[in-house]
Amino acid sequence: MNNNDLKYVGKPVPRKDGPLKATGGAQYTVDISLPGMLVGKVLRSPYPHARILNIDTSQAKKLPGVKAVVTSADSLKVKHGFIDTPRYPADQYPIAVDMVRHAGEEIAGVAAIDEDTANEALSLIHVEYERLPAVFDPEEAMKLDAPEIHPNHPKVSDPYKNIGGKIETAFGDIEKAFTGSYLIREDKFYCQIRTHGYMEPQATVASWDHSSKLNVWTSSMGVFLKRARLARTLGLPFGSVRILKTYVGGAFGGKIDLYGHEYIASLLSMKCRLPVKIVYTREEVFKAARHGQPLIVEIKTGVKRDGTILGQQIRTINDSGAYRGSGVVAIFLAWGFAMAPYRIPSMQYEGYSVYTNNLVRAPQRGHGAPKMRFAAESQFDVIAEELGMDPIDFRLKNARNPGDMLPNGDSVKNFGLKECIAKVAEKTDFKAKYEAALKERHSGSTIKRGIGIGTTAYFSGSLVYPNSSTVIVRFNDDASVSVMTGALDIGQGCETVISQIVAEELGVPLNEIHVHAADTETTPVDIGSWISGLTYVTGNAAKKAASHAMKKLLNVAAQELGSEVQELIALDKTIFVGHSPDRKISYGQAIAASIAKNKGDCIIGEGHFRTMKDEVSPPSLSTAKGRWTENYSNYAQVAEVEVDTETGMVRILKATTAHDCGFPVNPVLVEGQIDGQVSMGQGHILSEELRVEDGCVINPSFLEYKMPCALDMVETDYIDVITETYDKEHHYNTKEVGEGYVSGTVASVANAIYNAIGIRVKKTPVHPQDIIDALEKHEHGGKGDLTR
Amino acid sequence: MRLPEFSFHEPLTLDQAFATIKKNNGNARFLAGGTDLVPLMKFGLETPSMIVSLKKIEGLKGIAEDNGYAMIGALTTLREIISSTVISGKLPALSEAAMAVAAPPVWNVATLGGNIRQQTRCVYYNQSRAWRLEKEPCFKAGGNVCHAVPRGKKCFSVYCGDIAPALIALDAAATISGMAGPAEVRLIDLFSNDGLSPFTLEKNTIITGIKIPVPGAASRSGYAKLRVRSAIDYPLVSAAASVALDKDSIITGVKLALSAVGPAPVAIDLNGVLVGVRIDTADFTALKDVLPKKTQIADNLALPGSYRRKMLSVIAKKAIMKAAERAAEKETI
Repeated sequence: MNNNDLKYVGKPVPRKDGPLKATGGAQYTVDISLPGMLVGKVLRSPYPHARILNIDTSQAKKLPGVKAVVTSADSLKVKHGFIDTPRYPADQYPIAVDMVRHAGEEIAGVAAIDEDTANEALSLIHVEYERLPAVFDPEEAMKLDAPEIHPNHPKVSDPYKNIGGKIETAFGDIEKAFTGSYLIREDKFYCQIRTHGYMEPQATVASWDHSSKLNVWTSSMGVFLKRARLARTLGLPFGSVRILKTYVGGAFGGKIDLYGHEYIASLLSMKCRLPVKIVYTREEVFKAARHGQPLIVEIKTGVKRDGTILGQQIRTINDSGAYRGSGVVAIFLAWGFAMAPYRIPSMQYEGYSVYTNNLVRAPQRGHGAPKMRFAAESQFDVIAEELGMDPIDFRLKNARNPGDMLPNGDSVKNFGLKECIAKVAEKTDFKAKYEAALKERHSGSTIKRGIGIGTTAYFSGSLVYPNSSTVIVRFNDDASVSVMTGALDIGQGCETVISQIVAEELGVPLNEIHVHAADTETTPVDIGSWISGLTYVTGNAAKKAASHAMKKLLNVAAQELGSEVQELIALDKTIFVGHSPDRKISYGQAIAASIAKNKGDCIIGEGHFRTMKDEVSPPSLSTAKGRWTENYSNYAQVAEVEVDTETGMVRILKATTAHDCGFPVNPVLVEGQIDGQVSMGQGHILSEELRVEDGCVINPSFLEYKMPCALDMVETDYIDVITETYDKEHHYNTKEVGEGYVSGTVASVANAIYNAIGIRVKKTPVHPQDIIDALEKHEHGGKGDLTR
Repeated sequence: MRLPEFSFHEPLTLDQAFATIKKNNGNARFLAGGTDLVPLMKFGLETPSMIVSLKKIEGLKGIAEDNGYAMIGALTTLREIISSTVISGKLPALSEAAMAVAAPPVWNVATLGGNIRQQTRCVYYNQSRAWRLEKEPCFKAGGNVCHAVPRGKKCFSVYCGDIAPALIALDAAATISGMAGPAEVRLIDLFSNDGLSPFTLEKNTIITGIKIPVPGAASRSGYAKLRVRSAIDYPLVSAAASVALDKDSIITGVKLALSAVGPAPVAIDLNGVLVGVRIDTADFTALKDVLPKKTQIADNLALPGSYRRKMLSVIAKKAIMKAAERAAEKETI
């Protein structure tokens, strides 16, 4: 089918939930109100590492208005973990048992009739601690004499007791690659801890009802994972835990796993048999919730004289914080983001995830990609310069071609990276501006301009619990349509996209498609809004479900009209016989006929989809063996910056993105994703940093945590490099659009800063004082990079 | 974060206001826009039992030009200051400083007097009760340590007001009302330079108005502010300058004031530097020599003290250049 024949998909239709959100009608978790509902609060450890000697809750329990107090003594003491495998068993109690390993760790919970009473009750809980030595730097924690954080955890790298995760993988012959190289570069890059910056804080309402069912509304990224974790830690059958839909005010990776407050709200409600609501303060989000992954990347690359990459050796160190969180996943993914976009014939990779007494880490938009691409793309520019090549030619020489096979068995298929690089360079007049900036470097002006490029390839859905999506499409009597999906719209617009896909399949207008979503009791399982696979996996399940229903409808129509299905045409909720259009039946009539004549079949379609249907299991977190994804998205991004050499302040003037997102089901949502990621990349490279001293967060507010604000937003421009078309007979080949662009912004700005002032950025964020210090060093004849 | 309990009073006259304050034995606080006081109360750093709102008292609001002076009521909002063409035309540093405060929604409630009288700040002080469980309370929070300066013997909190330096560079004075009756005080004399108690005024006094001499056409002012983001942020260092030029664009006078350099804004004695030279040929290197060598800048804002010290002369120059360009072109902002 020609894309021009499409009516709903491929169109920039407005979001279905837009009006509701704009008018305040959307119900977020904080808006949930139930009869008798109590306010829950969490007591947290003020210390980063301590033994709990005693918890005395007696005074708190006596306070009038307090309905329940819980500690680990009320729990089953079941550990949970983002990863839970024999090599990496679950390592975290949802409420501390005998030990705390980071400041902010949950010690107790109270439920009271109002917030003041709950806060007062917290102050009446007396905890006796024995403080223990703590370690906060991952490289320090890797030393033999560092305090041991998890004595009972299986050692993956004896005798280094705090190494909680290790991955090693290699392909080709790295020794030979380096021996044959004309030039070898070794560099080390550092990335900071950033928070996700979701506007809606963590919030949960738990209600243990009269039928002994736990009902939970929680701000999350997918309801089925939350159900699994809650049921397991509470010792309840999955069927006794129901997670219901709420609107979500952003997540960006920070709301995936089980959080202590979700468990504590549930435990409190089970104890006092009243609904309990816990809403974090913003300070709690900063001081106790999970943040993103800081990463150290050591990278050694060998190239031929003509710029061809021969080999790359990489070592990453992740500070996983006090529990494993997603640290072992970040070091696995970082490998993928190194090997996917460019042809690297030989590679050796090792990654370490190290326990420290810092806050636990969650995935964060890009999950390793921004850091790995910042390192690799910066080093590409260094190498290109040393070889006398320009950054565009170097990348075009090494970028993968469509159809290339990756060492893990994935094909990059219709890979548009080279086209992206070429087009973004052309549109931004890259080479001319790059050369002009080099000439301007030594002029008298205090404002220097520069241009830089960064690129990425990203996976589009992988095999992670719950691994697949099912969608049910049901015709109502009036031929309006109800769609049942477990997908949770976290702001990315998945309900709109699913509606577009169903509308296209059925020929029913968008406003007559009603989505019922994200309820573990009444909707089928869904992969979740967190591995960049929702449009691909759930979207194709929706297509299959809709086409299943449509097939039934057409069969009935054929019976009623006395024709063959192939002769029928569906248009505006009416089915015609193609060669004699006066023979027709409305959808409503066909549905009634089906009920009357097909044993009551009211026409329900179901569809399932799983990526990599022939792969049994997800890739290995210790060897990286195994396939990753079916569809690789890719981008090339160019940033133009201005550096004030007097103040060291950097301004991003423009970010231009050439992107290959496969078939864009909704182009305006794609552009929204690009803009959002440019601003996140901007924060990453220029200003955002969680400042932690001895395990205490010292900037726990949006005033002191410098997330870019509205006036700082960067002008953006887009270039579509669309490599997939939609063919109605096949499934949608969509690619990721929600995470990868962050990388391009970070890397391109770092490279643009170099172009402007000749200083190589090796750590993020780039503070103005770093620029001033580096410029002063250079002025005094020194060289030196901008590093930690 | 929740506000603690307090009682609330809205007097109609200044006399009523002072009477209420007196009755509460020093445990009452005046409220203007509340953008400084309310966050401090949420953190538990201010714990008044009574709030006395100044909003219903007549005569504390408005902008007028009278007899060579601009008279601005202390309860005038920043939005009203920004909207005034008298101020943007003749006192641009004040307009610019008001626009540099926080973000537009704050301009609608924050007041001139409240902005001047804001508390000094420090990343180790402006923190919640939960923080004070993790770290010992500092001097300003009633404790005995300074987290910003290890082994520091005093409070290094920073006066981060944007408006005060502009008013100092504009030679403004404040009208004070209090127990002892009205008085006029030069802006710079409002500040004690003590982080623990940054104002020379008694607690139970209020600023009722600001009086600024309106300069002639050859003198204009400017404000420059160093911050990470384009809005919200308090200054890391800021400078306000008034520059007077003669008809040949030769500088005849410069007034300069700095903010976010210690517990008080600082008026700089330029000692003749830059005077007598044409603005387009002025050499700013001498500026470094007249700027204070010994500031109380410490590592207690978003960016390090060493960097902020380096930026003093850069930001001062930016403010002077803005003022001079306006004086030369008779431009308004």
